[in-house]
Amino acid sequence: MARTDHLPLSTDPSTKLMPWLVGFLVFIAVLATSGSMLLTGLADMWDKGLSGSVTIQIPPLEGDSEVETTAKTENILEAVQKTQGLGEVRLLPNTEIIELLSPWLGENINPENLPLPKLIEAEIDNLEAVDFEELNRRLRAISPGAIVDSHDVWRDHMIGLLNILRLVGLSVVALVTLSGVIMVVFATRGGLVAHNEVIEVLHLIGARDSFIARQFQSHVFWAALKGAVIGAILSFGVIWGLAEMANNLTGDSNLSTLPGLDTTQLVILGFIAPIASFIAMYAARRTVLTTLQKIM
Amino acid sequence: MIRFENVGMRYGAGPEILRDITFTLAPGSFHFLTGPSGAGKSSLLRLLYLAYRPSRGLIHIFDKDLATTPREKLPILRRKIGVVFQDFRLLDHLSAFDNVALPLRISGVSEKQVQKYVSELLDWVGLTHHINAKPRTLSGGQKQRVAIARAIISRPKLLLADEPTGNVDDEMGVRLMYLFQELNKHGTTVLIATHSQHLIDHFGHPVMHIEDGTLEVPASASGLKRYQSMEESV
Repeated sequence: MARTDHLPLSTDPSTKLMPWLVGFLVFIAVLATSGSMLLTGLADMWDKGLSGSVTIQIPPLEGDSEVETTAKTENILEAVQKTQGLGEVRLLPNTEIIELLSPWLGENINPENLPLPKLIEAEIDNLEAVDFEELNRRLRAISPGAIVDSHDVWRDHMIGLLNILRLVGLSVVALVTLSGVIMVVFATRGGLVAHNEVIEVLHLIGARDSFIARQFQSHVFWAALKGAVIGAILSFGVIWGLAEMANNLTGDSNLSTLPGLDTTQLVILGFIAPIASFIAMYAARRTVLTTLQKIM
Repeated sequence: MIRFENVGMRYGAGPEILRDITFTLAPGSFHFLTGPSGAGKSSLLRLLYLAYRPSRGLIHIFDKDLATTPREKLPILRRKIGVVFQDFRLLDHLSAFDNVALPLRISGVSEKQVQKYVSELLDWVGLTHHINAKPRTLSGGQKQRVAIARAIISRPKLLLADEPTGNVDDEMGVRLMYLFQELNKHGTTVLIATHSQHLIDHFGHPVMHIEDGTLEVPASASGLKRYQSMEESV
């Protein structure tokens, strides 16, 4: 087939705007998708990180002497070590506890003035084998104030929040896709009205609906691809800029362990531009075929 | 064979523009269609080039009943019909060459053949030096010749022309008519709507006259009874 444009679509005001609009929508879609990917990675990281250990807190009981508290702690330590499913058990030294509390209570914490709880950290070897209720009951029998914290509640809340944010991101992608399709449908309908006479001549000469649809879909595809590639490049620039800013801000703190985007995810993001162009092309084709079906 | 039986046509809910139109055009026949302005010539041609369906009656085009022909089959029928529109209906964004090439490209003819056929035909109608010209830069007569070239490029089985010589000088008009005659000799059925008594007298083909939406046909085009008796005998 010759490369002649049988319809002068490139002169349409509605399709002239298409690359810009598609570019903007793809820009948002790539950012939202990458955000969702980052949140998914973060949720997985927290899930894995916090599922791997359990913390036992033994607050000093009123009336207990230092010796009694130490004895109860040792008994609890022994009970924890014997618990099925738990691995290495470690009593945190006071210096480490002070370090953990310093962001809230300052650097100058004096353990003699402030009774510090004892903290035991135990690694979980086999989560399914650990009976947390039984462990809690046994430890409370030794020291009524003992608290077993498997981080479940905090972790569940955080992962729930991340999942909501991820859903918001995916909803943005869905809305952006819908907006793009609606835009293409209206632009195509505008094109059909604007070129009504040319389309009629093409029909009378023997053109099938698919021949006319090809004119529209080809034009829409290349217009959309042009915009989509620009939008994708800009969004990659923004992602790279934000990642650089995050690295500069967080330095070597814990936040620097935020999961990045792996190669597969980058490839998926790279595919958004051609996918958007194909969706636009398909929307244009369906619009033309559906509209032409109504005329002779 | 083109056959109309008691065909009526109206636009939307408007009055009937054509009434009880009955005629046949035998393969390879040549007819003129005459009548005053507004009599229904263009509407009759629209039915013939399948731009509209009739509001009543039967139309058989190339022995296909239009009423039972599905929409997706119409392009194949239309490719067998060449039309010269009164207002040319050239595509302004395409060159003369691309306008003439359009029917061939739509039919999927190879680009090599398109180049050959279109160049030859444009040469024949005297537009060799205007093959890259856009219609808006051409005179009325040149546009008309492009329109005629587009109508005949794919050697249609039926050629319909609405005042095809209206914008060309007498010499070119006669030359174009000889082109139509040549096509007709090769089997193309030709129907030409014209006001030119000069052409009608010069070429002497049978005349179908339409007035106030009704058609008077010469013996050569009123062969419905003959056709029906042929069908019955078969």
